[in-house]
Amino acid sequence: MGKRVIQRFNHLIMCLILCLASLLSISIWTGEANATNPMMPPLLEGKQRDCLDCHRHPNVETNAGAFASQSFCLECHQEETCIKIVNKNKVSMKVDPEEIRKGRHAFVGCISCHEDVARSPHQSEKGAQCLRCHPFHNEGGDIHSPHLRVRCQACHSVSKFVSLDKKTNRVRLAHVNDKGMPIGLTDHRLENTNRDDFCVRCHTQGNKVGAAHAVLPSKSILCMMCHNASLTMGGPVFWVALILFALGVLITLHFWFQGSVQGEEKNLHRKIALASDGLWGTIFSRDFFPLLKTILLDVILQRRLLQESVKRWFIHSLIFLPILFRFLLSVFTYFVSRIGSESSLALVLIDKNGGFTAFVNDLCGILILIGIVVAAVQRIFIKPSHVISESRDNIALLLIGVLIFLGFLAEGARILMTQLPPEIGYYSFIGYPVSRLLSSMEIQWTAVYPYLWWGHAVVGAIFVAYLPFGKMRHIFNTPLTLLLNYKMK
Amino acid sequence: MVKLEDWLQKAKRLTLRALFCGLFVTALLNTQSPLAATAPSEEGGWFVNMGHFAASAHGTFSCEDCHGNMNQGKTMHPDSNAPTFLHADANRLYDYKRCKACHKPSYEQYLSGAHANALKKEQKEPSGKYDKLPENKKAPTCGSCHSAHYAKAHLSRVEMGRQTVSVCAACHPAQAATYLENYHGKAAVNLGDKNAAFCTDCHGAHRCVSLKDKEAALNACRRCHPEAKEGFAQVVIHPTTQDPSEMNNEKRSHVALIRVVTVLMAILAILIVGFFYGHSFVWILRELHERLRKHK
Amino acid sequence: MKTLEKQQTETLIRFSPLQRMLHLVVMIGFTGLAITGFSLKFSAQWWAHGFAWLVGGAGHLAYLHRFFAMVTYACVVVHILWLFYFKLALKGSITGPQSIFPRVQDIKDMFQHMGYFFGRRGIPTFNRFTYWEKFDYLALFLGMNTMGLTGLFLWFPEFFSTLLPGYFINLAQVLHLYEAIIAVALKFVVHIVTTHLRPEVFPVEKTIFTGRTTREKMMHEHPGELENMEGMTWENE
Repeated sequence: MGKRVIQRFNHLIMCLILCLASLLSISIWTGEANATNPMMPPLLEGKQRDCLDCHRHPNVETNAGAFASQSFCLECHQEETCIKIVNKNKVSMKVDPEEIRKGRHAFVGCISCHEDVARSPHQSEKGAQCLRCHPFHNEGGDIHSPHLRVRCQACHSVSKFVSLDKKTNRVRLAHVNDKGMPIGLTDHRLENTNRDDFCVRCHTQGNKVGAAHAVLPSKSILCMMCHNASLTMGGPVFWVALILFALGVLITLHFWFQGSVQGEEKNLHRKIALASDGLWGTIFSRDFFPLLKTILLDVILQRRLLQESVKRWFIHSLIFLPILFRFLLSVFTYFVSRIGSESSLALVLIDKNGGFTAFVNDLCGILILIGIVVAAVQRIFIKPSHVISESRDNIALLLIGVLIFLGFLAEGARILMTQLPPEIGYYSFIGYPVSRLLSSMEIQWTAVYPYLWWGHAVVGAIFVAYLPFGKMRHIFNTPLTLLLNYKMK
Repeated sequence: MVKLEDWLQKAKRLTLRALFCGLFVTALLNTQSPLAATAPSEEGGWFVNMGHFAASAHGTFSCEDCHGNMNQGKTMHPDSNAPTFLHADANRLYDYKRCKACHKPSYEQYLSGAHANALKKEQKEPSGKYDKLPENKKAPTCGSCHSAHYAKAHLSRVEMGRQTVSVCAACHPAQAATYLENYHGKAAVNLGDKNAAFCTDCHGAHRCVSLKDKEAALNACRRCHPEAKEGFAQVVIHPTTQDPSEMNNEKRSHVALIRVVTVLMAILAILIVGFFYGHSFVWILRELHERLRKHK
Repeated sequence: MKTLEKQQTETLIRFSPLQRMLHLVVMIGFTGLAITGFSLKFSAQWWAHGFAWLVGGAGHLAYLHRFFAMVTYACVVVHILWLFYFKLALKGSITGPQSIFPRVQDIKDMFQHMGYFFGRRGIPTFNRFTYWEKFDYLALFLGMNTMGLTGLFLWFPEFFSTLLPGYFINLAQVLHLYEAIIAVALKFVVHIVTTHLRPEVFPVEKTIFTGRTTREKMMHEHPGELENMEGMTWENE
């Protein structure tokens, strides 16, 4: 062989030795480091790492800060070796970075949601805080309102297993699957909550979270007389009620316009024109303020009834004023929840178990029920001479009475099946004792509740449908008459 | 038939009164604490908010001044093989003797108080017994009460006092609540009166003592009430039944008596006020009725 | 008062200047006590906060409360002295039918009056002081003394804890609070409503301030007293 070949061979051997040497030194170095196993090497881009390279709080409001937060956490969490031991079982804490980077929260730092986890001990007490950025009552408002005790992740995460946390009285994702094996909840994909079959995650037979066995519709707009309701109809039965109601109104108007209006006898078109002229003309005139006074004193405070009899005024007010108050509160709640959906006032008004709403609703309900009972006793037992009872009067009393009764029953069943703790439940000072009474019966209330709900809803729908036909028509007729005749005393 | 009507109206009257008065008294007795939840969510965390740190009392220090060189000798930071890795509380990991260098009197006072005794007891037990307890049931170290990164210097007595109350309340909520119902709490915390007592004025700031002993309690009272005599120490500042292991039978009976009197007075108030409100209400209705009939 | 004059416009004098002034001073004192006291009790609320700031802090609040207490209790003392004068010097009756002392007739009047509320009976013939006015007076008299005593306990706890065990200070605080709640709830609402805001006398009943009333009103509201006055000989001229 020539000199060149030997030179090349030497060159090759030198390179090999150098490579081996560097490999060996690297392995020794990392091996030595593995003895104490730091998370990251102390050198970054050739410079000694500074405390603040990791320990400065990233500004997660910026994209750079969000990515810094993500890479800090992912340094451990994207590895297969990232596990926790639960009851001697290994649970993977691995997070797939692609899920996050391709998902909706790509530009959100980990600690923006997982606020209390970047610390020692490394465990979160409060979980991910969705409400820091997402007001709960946006487009999903009507679905969210009855689900205030359900945590966001229980619906919006892909994990299918839910449980009821007795300490906080919230429905949350379960840390075990249906076989009792612990699971890691690190799948960051979001569930498609628009799927039809989505609700059965909780609303199914044998659920442990106290959800009704059937999916119930949102409260219909017909329910707005007492309840904070949505602007949807809710189901075919409510459509039927609305159509019957509209029919009744039309029949009544037809009957009214058979008479003469300001001298005009024949032409319906002219009659309607004269009537509406009269109406607008009166409202937009200086008669407006006497009209307001009539509304306050005669329609709301019923002074003409007080003039007749204190007892009758009292019974009527017991029924009428709470209904009026609840109606105004429902309308107010609706506006607050749409205009100020992030405000704490909206939450106070919508939360059925919250102190104010629970107390006011139960108070109004029991006052109405007492009024109905006293009125019924008046009509059926005492029968003063001036009272003539027709069956139509009794139907009206019956409808309202049964409505309120079923309402309290449904409330008691709801409180029982959702296992509301006493310190929250006692604000519902009627509903909570009812739930205690119901608890003595060995019935599966999650199965019964849908029937109670529908019973109450159907009676309500019948009430609305019956309004233009029976005595209840007076809630429109009487104010109208008072306003038309306010000048005559 | 007539009797039934009477009875029904009486029942209606009674129910209404009870409901109105319940609402009134509940509204009246519901007070809110002015102490906002100052839960130091930045505490014990891995990240330090440098803006707040710069404005704090330790803002001019570098990390190494208190934490030393974290990559020294054989140990490196963080060490995933250490048994405390990701499990220990931050304020059990740090060696608070380092505070002694600048805060010698406070450190030595702490060592002679009840908090240090509790910590010693905890450290003697095998690990596992105390580890599972939540943060607010374990003995406090310096870092449990003081934020090393964010504590501000030169606070006024009232500012400092209010912070103190919310810090003490994290572990002693019943005592904080009863303190706020007491004159001292209302004057000091709500009204910002610097002459009133905060938690540390009676119980000591670093050398914390419980004042179960009446002698110790009387000495504490005399710091502001020099004419106080023996019976003065029997005034109950914290009428709470929480932490019953700390209550002796004498205090227990006094607290029970106070509670009974409170409940009786509340019932009396509801009955009297309720009756007269109902009485006036029905009277007004009758008079309105008579007036309306006269104008008919 | 038994002094009466008949004037051309048939006004009658029901309250002497002393009585009117005492009522006015008690009114102001009571209101001051209520505001300063509840500003401490509810000091966590914004309005109490605001008021305490207005007067300059907790110390001033305490001082004002005790000042009003002294003023109101001075009225109680003056009233008691007047009672002695009335009984001993004027030979008045402090337990008779025209006095403010409660009698069995008042219970009967109350039930009859409540019967009138329910449309079953007529209005009773009231004497000088109706049963609710007597209750107002008694409640105030007893209340002021309770509040005064418990207030003294709270003002001088070092002294009173040498006489009674220390937890009596706690009991005094409880009684002071609930008595205050009852007193304010009754005086600010029931008393104002029954004396001024009742539809019969709405808007203001001026007699307690001017001392004068008309014969028609007397006939309507206190017929028994009028009868007694007319049939009586002039003793105190």
